[in-house]
Amino acid sequence: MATTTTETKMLTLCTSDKQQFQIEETIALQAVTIRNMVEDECASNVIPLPNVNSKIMIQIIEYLKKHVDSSVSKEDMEKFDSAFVEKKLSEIFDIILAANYLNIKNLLDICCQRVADVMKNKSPEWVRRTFNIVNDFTAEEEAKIRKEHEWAFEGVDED
Amino acid sequence: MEKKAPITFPFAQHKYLKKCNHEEDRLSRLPCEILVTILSRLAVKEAARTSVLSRGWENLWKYSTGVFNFDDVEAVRGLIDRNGLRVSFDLDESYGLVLDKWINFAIMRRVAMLELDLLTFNGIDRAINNSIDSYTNNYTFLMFPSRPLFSPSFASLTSLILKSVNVTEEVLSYFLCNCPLLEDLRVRGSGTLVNLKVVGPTLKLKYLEINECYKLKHLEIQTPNIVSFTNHGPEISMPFKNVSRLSMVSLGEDYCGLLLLELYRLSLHHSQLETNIMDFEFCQLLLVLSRLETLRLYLEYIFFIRKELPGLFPLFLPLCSNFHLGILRLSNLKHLEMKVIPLPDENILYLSCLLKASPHLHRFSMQIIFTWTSDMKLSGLQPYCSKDARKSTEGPYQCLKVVEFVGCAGHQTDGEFARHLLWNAVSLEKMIIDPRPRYLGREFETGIEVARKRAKELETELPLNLKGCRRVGGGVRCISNGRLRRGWGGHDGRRWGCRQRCQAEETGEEGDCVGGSKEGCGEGEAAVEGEEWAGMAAGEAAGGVGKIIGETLSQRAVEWDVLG
Repeated sequence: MATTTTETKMLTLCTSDKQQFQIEETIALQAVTIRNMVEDECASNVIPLPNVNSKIMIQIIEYLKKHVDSSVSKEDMEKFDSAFVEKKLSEIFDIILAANYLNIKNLLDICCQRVADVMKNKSPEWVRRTFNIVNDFTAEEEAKIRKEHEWAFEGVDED
Repeated sequence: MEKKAPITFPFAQHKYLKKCNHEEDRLSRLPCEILVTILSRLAVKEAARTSVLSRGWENLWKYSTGVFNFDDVEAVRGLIDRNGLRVSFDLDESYGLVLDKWINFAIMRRVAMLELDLLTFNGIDRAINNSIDSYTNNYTFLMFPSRPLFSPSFASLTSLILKSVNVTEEVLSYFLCNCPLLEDLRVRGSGTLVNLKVVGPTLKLKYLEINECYKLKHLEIQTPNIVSFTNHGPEISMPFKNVSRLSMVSLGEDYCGLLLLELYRLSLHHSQLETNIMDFEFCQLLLVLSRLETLRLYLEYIFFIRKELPGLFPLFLPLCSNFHLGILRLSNLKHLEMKVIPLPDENILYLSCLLKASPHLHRFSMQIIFTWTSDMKLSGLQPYCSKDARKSTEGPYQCLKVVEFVGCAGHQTDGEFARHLLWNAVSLEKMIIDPRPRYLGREFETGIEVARKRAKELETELPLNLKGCRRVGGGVRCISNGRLRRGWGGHDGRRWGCRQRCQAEETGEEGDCVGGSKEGCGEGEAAVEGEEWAGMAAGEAAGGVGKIIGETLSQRAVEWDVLG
């Protein structure tokens, strides 16, 4: 299938802070949003990505570069993915939003998994503290919900 | 791999928290669909715990599609209420065993209702995006049950609903035999159901619904208690034998076409023989039809499936002639509902043959979906023109009181039909027009302005000899046959005001002219007052999408008495 073309086609992406990134088209097209733009021929020279900043873009390009490489084995890819999400939660949230906007399903999946892993087997109090969630229930309301879902509150890890 | 995640950052974040007292809650601010994705990666039990985090989280987990720990009987207990167990998750084959466990548990608790709906969330996308073929062929539903069911206590079950679950004839027969109280059986989307016999004089079954079971080849219904039968699915022969109480039938997809085809075939046969001896099957079918009180025909798929036919007309042609011969009589029919996709600019008056065959029809409801043609110009539609529609060849519809049109576009197609009904339904009390046309593959709002305008135009040409008082989008028209009507403001508030008041006065005069009595005048004033009051009330009401409703005096007066 793959024909050896003399030159690889490049795309220029422009992030919200007006940084420009030149990357190979094959890499960029893994992002469905970019692929749609290219297919609809809306992308003339520079593709503007107003919802992504350059700091996040660098990380996303790192991810896409790895994933376009078909020679990487499945295990290596999994290793890469699990290392990739070893970031601070605030960064993970940024990547989630960017991956959601760029429509990169795998990346969104591993980041969501990472957040879920944090919440796994933890008490609601722990989750609130960790994610700074403000409890806006009254004590009675909270007790009522807990009673309703009594079955869900067993077997929680110590904080 | 999953273990290493939570260790590093909470501490770091705590330190940060001390510096900046008000760290933002970025998690809760993520889009809902992402939060649901995250929750779906937790076991349902864990996801359910997030309900107490904050108000924003209270109900999110209910949309998650995580895995239940089915061994957790406490969790099941929490989900079974007194009436029954409803399992509505997107589960595939791998959950068969655990699901059986649940069901056995529910049955042990003597539930009355058991519902499995295993195509939710992701499944909806699957079903919408794929055609019917891939919907049934490519997606394997869970086989129910995965082990033979052995329960002594089915005695309590009255309602069994199996959606997007594969079941076989044996399983359904087992339930039919072992659930003496079973009244309601619904099966949807089973790819393994080929034959089904609902036969037995002692069955309590009242409601039977078999939808989207595309592998179904043979169906037989022979049970005295059955009241309602619904089948949207493939072409199979008509199943009825000894169904003396059947009063509601709803048919869709190929199966609906089949009814018409069967009538077509048999009547052709009949007219060729030119005798009075009729096919036994045909007699059976006619007998069943003659007992129905409610008939719903969803003809929208036939347009696609039968490409060789130019629309529905050929199917209805013999029905029309059948009516002439007096063979097809829907003598008990009170409600008729249809959903059709006419050809562009097709005259669908032939559909009225069903109404003509139903002397006691009380309510007729029709939903029209239009095909969009590229040369269709919404703004340049021809006004309603023909007078044919008004002519009634078969005598008026004596009992028709309520007519509902959903998806009127203001084309000749629907306009003619609506006009036909307005002129021929002599005791019409209520006309409901929903001018929100549906065009296949078009935005819902396409052509809505034109549709409204046409609906109003239709109102202006209401026959004066018609009993009744009609209101269009809030304005009242009194059209008299001697006695004047009180104005009444209606269900959906639209822009009211002086104009409407004038209109009421004007039509009051109109009524006066026709009626010519003083009493009439007096009531005419009442009409204006009523109008004003109602106008205020309706003006305050939320402005819904314009429905055009006409009602008769008798109803109106009753409503006035109650509210005034």
